[in-house]
Amino acid sequence: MPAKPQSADKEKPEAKPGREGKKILIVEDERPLAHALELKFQHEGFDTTVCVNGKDALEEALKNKYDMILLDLIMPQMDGFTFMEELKSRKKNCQIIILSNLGQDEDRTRSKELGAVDYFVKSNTPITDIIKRVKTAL
Amino acid sequence: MPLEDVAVGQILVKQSYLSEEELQNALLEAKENKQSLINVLSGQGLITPSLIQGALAEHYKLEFYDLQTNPPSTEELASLPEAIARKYFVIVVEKKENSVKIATTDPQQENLEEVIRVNLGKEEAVFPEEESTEKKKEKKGEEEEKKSEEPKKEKGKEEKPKSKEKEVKEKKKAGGGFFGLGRKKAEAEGFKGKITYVFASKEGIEAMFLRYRKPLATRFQQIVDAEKEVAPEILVEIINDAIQLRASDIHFEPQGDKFTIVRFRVDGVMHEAGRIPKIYYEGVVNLIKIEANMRIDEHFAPQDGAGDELL
Repeated sequence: MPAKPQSADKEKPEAKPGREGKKILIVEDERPLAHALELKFQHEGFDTTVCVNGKDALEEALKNKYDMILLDLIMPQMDGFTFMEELKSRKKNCQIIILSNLGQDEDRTRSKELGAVDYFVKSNTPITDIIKRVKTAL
Repeated sequence: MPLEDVAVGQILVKQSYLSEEELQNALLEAKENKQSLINVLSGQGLITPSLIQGALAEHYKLEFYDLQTNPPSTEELASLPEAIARKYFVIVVEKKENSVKIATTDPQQENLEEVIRVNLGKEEAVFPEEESTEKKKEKKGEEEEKKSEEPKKEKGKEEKPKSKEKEVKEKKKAGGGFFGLGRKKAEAEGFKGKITYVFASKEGIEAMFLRYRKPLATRFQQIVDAEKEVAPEILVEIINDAIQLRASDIHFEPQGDKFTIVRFRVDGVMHEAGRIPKIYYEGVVNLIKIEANMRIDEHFAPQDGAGDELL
């Protein structure tokens, strides 16, 4: 059974000024990384929701409005590229940052064509860099 | 020296990689099952080695250095004596004339900077002198005196908490200068350039320690000089070394007309093990081909073979 999106309502820290109500959808099937991203962004005062596969993430992204989506590319049920194509075909606009282990130029190009604003290779990127990037964008 | 598990757990909470509740639960489970805290957290899917390294680098406010993708050269590594590298878990990852980049698991170790300054470029390690028993007693007495004075401080005049950086500097200042050759002499002889610290994983640094072994080339150079049966002896030396270092593969990388680099993969990381002069490389390859029932006159097509009596 697919894991349900986990909303970050429990023990939510106070939102820092300027970030009230800013919502981030974390789409990541590596549970430890998703967990760390969730805690770090909550600590920074963002509202977070975690999805562990592309299909659940698409439902979630269509149902609710998010200010930023952090998207893995290789995931069960629906990959990140299909997720972006689906969002694009339904004219749902949202800033997307890719977090992937794929480091090829063609993956970066394809992601940008589908609307991603930035692309990080997970193994080379400390979480702090991802947070800095999101904070700059929002 | 790498940190204890519990200290790592506290850093994970402080850096928001883990909640306090998750840490407490994991500590209980670790105690009940007599497991390490890190194993429990990994088993619960809360943490991975790379996340731990990220949190520690964040804690020390250092850049994370990936030794697997950017391994230091043998010369850089050898610029600190092995005994110092192993004791303090530090290695040189970049060395220029007036600056050096040091990868470590803990940049806050006592005397670390002085130890590095004194030992850079040395072959023999110089350690700080152990504090004498009398000095230790004196220090203990001072500490106790300080503790007894603390409650006397008026509440309204509380001192500002010291920043972490300041604390480290003071710690170094207070603890430094115990070298056997005298502080002044040690300072005069030591490295005076800029030292930059980067954070590297414990496993990554441990893997680099293996490269402190004498290069393979120095052993087979004697065989080459003796002008005996070069190919079989070099090959046996290489295989013996690979077995001893628990290497999973041996790579031969011809470098044009000069020599061939021999690399071992140890714990998934490639290490240069030595260099074979070009004149002997052909002989080594032919020997492998013969032992593995491959054609020795085929130089361009890939071949697959196996042999089990090389030694």
